[in-house]
Amino acid sequence: MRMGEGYKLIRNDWVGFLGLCLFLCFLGISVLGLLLTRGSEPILDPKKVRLHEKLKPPMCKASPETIANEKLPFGRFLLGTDDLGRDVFARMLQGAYVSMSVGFVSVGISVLIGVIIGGISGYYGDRNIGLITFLSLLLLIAGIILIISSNRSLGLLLSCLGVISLLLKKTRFLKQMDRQFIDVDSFIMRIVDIMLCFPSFFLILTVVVVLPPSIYNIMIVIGVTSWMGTARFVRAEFLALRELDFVKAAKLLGLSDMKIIFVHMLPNAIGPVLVSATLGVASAILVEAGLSFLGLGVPPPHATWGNILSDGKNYLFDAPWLTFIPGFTIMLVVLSFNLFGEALRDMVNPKLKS
Amino acid sequence: MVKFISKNLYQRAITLFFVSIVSFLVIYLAPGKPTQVDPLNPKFTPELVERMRKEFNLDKPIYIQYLLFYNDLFSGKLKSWKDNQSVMKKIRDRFLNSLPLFILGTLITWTISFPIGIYSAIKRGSFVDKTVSLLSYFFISIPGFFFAYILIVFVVKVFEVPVIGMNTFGLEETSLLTIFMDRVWHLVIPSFLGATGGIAILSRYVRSQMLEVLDNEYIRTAWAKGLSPDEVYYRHALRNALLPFITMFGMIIPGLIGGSVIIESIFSWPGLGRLAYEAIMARDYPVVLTLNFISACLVLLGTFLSDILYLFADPRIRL
Amino acid sequence: MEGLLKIKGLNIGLRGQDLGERPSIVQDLHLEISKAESVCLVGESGCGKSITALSIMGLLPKGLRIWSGKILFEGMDLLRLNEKELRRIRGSEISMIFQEPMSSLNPVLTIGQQLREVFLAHLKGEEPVHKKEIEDRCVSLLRDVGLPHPKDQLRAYPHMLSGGQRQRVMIAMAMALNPKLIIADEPTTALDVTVQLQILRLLKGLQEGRECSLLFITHDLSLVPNVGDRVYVMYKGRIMEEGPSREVVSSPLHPYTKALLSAIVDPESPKGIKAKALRTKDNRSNSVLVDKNAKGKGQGCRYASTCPSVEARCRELEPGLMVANDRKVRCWLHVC
Repeated sequence: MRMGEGYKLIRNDWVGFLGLCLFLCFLGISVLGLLLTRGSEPILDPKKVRLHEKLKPPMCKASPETIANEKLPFGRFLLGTDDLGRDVFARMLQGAYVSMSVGFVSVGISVLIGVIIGGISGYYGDRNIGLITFLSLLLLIAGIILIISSNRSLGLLLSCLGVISLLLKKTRFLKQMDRQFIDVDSFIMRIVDIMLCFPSFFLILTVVVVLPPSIYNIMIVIGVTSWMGTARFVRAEFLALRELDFVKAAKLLGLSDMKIIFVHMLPNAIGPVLVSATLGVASAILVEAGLSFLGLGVPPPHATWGNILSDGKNYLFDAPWLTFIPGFTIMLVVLSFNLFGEALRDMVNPKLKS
Repeated sequence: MVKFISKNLYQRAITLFFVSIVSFLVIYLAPGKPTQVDPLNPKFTPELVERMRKEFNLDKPIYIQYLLFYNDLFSGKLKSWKDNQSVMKKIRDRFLNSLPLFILGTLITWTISFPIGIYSAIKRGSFVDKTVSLLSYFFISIPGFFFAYILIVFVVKVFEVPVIGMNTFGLEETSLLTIFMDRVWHLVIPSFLGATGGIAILSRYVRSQMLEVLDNEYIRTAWAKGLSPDEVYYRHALRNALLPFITMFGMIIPGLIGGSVIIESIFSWPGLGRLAYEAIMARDYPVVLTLNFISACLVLLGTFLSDILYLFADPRIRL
Repeated sequence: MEGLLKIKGLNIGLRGQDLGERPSIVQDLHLEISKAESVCLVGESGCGKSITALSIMGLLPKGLRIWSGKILFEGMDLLRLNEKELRRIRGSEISMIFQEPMSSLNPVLTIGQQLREVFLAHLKGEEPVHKKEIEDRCVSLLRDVGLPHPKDQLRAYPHMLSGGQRQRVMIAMAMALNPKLIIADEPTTALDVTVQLQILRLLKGLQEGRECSLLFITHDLSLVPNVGDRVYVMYKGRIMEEGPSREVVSSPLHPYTKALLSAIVDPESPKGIKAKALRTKDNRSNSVLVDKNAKGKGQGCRYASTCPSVEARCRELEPGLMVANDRKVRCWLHVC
């Protein structure tokens, strides 16, 4: 079915295939890197400070005392050392794992959120939220916020009011007032609009600064601020798919909504999502590098490509490899994702079949 | 028409209202209050902390804080927590610095991207197209800060041109021309840096839009009528391909704040992006929130303009 | 009758296809149209009829290549002309009407603009061009094709018109400079049935009135007697039958022609249902049917796999075009 086509297309479009290969290499290297540098006695130690070896260029021989104490591949520092004598090769390997995990996990989070929100908006879009429902939800949320901000009494009051009115909205009294207020679709799109009003890097920066620095926080933040594109795509696809006959047929057969969404509709909508996800990984890696560069990424001494570059910028003219090696590596990895993502896009787009 | 505009503005105003609430909440509910006692800083005695809390209204319930804050914002009385200067004044000064960078960068980006994108689409698969595509991919993938350093090294070594900051220190006494040229030199590299990434992305988008349009049936009709290539590409294809860019045009306005944090950091350019960064690092919440609010306003303004422009550009949408 | 268009030995295949194989789109096509004659080209989706038309205009899509052949228009081989010369001919001597009126007009330009540019593209440099004169000609053209309020329609945009009206505009654009040949590629397929007849009558009327030739391409054999003097039946890139329309329709020689006809005449019969499947709607004129059986091997008749009267020799050798009076057929059954 699609796999045979995909195989042929990759063969024709060698650039995308190259991107895929690079991507797989990167995957392999980062796993390898993790294995080689983890633990307290790693094979390649990214943390070990050797002040007598500082700022050595790539491929230079290690001094005899170093070779006596530790095992180095070919007895050399493959990518040189930084200003504290740490092995750049080991640090790059450690950083590879960080970049990869940040890229994939944050995109995973954003795709998950995006698919759920976009799916609800696209599938249940024309259901209506009544006025009373909306107001009680508002009360509930306001109450919770007040509770968090240590205004307990008022907060508790409002949340209780909200919950009560939600429970009672089916009663005759409130039902009359529960007029049509807003579509689920419009409501969700408004939320997306609000999220889009925040410039993304700015927002990430803000949140990262107020939260304690950790790799998980960064992943979550990037994930939570970049789901909007995916949500839009999924919504658009679902809106189109919903009108198609096979969905109507499934409904008539009595299949549950969940089944229809996940088994029938989602596989068809996955195309733009995959493209967006691939390009999103590239973007996430760049963002993480940027954050590390500004000093806000994963805390030291853990190495990431961004902070190797950041440390190296002070020695730009004396030890250019400290800047160029991480820089080029980031570029190559991001490039491979971009190439592969574009190739995916051409594969998935029915209109561009030449 | 009037109804459309008013409905549009009304919806945007509501969105803005919610944005103001959300951004306020994000800052205030986050852990790590600005007035936490910093164990390393001996100046932060508990009495001082208490005084700061009172002065910045932090002891009041959150909805009061919200009202007080936005009241101060709109009346211009809002004060920065870092140095007690008026927030609006700080923003205004930095804004004037960011503006030439932004305008130059946007101008370069938009004037170069279109010819490149259009040419790549028309001569699809040619050597030029493939080269341009490859270059675009490079510029999209290269981290901005890395490329900046490459440029700095290159320019400083080859041209011996000053690069950091807005102008060279100590030149105030020289002639106007020297000052002007100095300013220009300092402006060139950062704008160029910002522009390359933008050109890469925009030209690819232009190219893909042109390609999509060129696939349409009415282009074949135009060829069948015996029109010249210029007429087919520029009168028929381009007018259709440009429609989505009108939407994009509205969205460049918000870029004034958001786009430049890293560039301004590297070049020590005292602009809005740098202001935002410094404020965030210093937990200077009034400045952060104000910038956020302004940015949201710009986004909504930009999309509003796009909607209006689109109304005039696409004859299929008429009210 | 003088010859206007002569296609000789046209072979079209996919770019990058092995030259040893049979060209997969159009093979060894011969077709003639005389002055003021109306010819129909009939076949199912993907048989190559639209590609043939596009190759006359020099508008082949990028993935296809002309391997060999001649397309003689008033003695001039169109395949040897360069782009500039072709452009001079397009729209003024040969014009084309396409299938999808909904997407064949530029949505952001007015009807008037799109009509006017046909004149402006071809008349510049020859006579001083008067705006008023062009306006008048546009208005009279729209009137000729039966559009009400032609003056107002000039300022309208395509989305304001119905499918039938848009097709009339397309016809107007095609007729504007009194071309010698009009190629109509399934002009009525995308329209409602009631509108189809109107457009057909309009087309035929204009053709007879201005004494130009018409190449009418369709998959619907039932339209043929009303529109064409002669008909060519095409199947998978080959002409299978050729002759005066009425005779071919009343007494078809080739099994494929018979199948097409029986599908129209008797949809209830089992053979009719099978043949009905052949009459698929031509949605995209770029759709290409690659005969999987014909890759390299397969020297037999193209219709052999589906033919109800197939014999052993049909699979081995492809029949040539047999001539009998003014009829031609490519079938072993009709070899004496």
